Amino acid sequence: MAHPATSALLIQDGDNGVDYERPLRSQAGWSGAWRRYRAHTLPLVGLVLTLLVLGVAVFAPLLAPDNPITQFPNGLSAEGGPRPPGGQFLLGTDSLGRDLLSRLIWGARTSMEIAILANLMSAVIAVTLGACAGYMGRRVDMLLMRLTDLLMAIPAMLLAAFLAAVFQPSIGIIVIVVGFVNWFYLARIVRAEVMALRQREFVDAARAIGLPTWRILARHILPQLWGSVIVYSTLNVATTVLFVAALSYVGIGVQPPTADWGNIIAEGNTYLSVAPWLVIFPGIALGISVLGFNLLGDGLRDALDPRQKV
Amino acid sequence: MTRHLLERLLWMAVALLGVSVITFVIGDLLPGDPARVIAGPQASQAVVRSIRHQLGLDQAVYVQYWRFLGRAVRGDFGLSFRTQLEVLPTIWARFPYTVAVGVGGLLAEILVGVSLGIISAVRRGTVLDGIVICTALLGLSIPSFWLGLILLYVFGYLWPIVPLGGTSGWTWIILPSITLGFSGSAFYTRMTRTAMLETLSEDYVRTARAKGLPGRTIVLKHAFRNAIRTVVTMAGMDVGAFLGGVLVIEQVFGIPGIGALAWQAILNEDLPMIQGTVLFAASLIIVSNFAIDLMYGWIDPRIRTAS
Repeated sequence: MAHPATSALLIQDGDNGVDYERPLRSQAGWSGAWRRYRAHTLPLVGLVLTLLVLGVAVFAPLLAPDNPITQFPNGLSAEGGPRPPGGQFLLGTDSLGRDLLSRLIWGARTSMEIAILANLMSAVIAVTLGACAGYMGRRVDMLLMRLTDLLMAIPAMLLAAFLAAVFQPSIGIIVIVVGFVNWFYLARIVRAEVMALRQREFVDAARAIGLPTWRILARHILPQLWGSVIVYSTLNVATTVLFVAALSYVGIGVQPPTADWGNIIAEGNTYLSVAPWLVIFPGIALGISVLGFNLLGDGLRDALDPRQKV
Repeated sequence: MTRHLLERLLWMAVALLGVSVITFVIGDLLPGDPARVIAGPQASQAVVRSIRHQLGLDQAVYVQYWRFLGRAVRGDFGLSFRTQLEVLPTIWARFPYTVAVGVGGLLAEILVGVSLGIISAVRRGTVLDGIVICTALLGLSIPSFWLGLILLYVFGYLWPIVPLGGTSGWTWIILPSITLGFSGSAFYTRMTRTAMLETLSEDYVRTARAKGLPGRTIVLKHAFRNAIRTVVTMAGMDVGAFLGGVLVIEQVFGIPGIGALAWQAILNEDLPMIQGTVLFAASLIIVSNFAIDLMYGWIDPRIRTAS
């Protein structure tokens, strides 16, 4: 499994979406960014998919036809197995007679909740540590680089599983654990950017008029970082969704009966030959949300950071 | 170069030490009482206490760590709480399976990823390029463990040409390799494409073209030799995530490798086995990063002569 978020940050793809035939309009600021964003089809597809998944997550209680943990007596076939898709249960039922569609809809909520909160947490850690290391340099920088080196030497999957086992997995713990194993790359990106920004004239000017360090960081340097942080975090939401699903799949992430796409697949694993829909549908749900965030992140990178373009 | 090598070796040792501290500290936080796990729920307090004493669990944490480290450097990670088997030999016995899956997956992802990346860079802007980019996007978005299950369903059950999980014969290695290869190659395709597009626009490539060299020579000998550095760098950053993927894929295909061992150990709160697998996996990553560092000198002569 590669680390798509980092890869995508380094990729420069396609043209920059500027149409030179049209009269010149401001390319700066949010309106310029939106103009660059909507110039291509794939980012718009990504936006639609992402809004779809987020909408399902937010309105899960309204959208789900049934309670995701209700075990319906008529939810099992005559032989006591899961019911195939169709009829009362649109996407069929699982081995306990629960409505698969409702579980998938609530699974969107679990997945988005964890992925977004965990990425917020890693962004806060990464920006704080990365900015300090990049701005102060020397020992602080050395320390951060060695620490990330060290933590990157442990497979994130194992580290997360180990931590989750220690603290007994609940949604909150998984958010913290995943947030904790996810900040290294972003911290390094932030550090590199701050190091470059530190050399710029406007920072010298701010220092010359005697502004305190925290103010220079907060008011002059941080605003320049939002682009990369937003892009990285968006792409990383995609990675996190896959990561958490894999964690739940091996039985260490979200615990049943809470609906999560990963643990639905794990449960379906046993019934693969008799009830393949238990594996197929949650996989499609996962694929759609991951694709959505990947396209959104790619689009945002092109729109927010035109400097990366040649 | 020698100095650089020594620094790297020293850092390897420090990194391993750091990882051992981390695994030990996390292990110390595990809620269950290892002595109780070994003794079983029916055992009396006295038995539990004597086991605690035997394991040295009644000592201060740093004493425990020191003893753990002293044994660990000799390759002794203790006995599994569950099976009472020695940890390191158990891991070594499972290791060949993980290596087989890992090497199969790595070969598949690099071969497929790099060649697709080169093709799409050379044919930039064509339909072929579009297809490759879309495939890469799918590869990044499809969960690899899910793809593994679907492949297993189709080629193990519906149309049985490979064993339905397990490790009989040699055909069992095919599906895990394809699964890892498909997910991982997306990453290499995108990286190679970008790196190739960059080098293909360099002046020396134009010179090579002006000299009238055949297109294949330009692409493979002139452009790709420089793009390969990016690929190796990415491979280095990818080792940890890749190994994580291998461990999950083992679970999908019922392969008795280190992954299966680790997940079981974590579910069982089998501390020595968890520490053993985590440290073992970390050593693998640290050693591969070292190997990749050495490869730079071989790939890029400027680094070789720099020091």
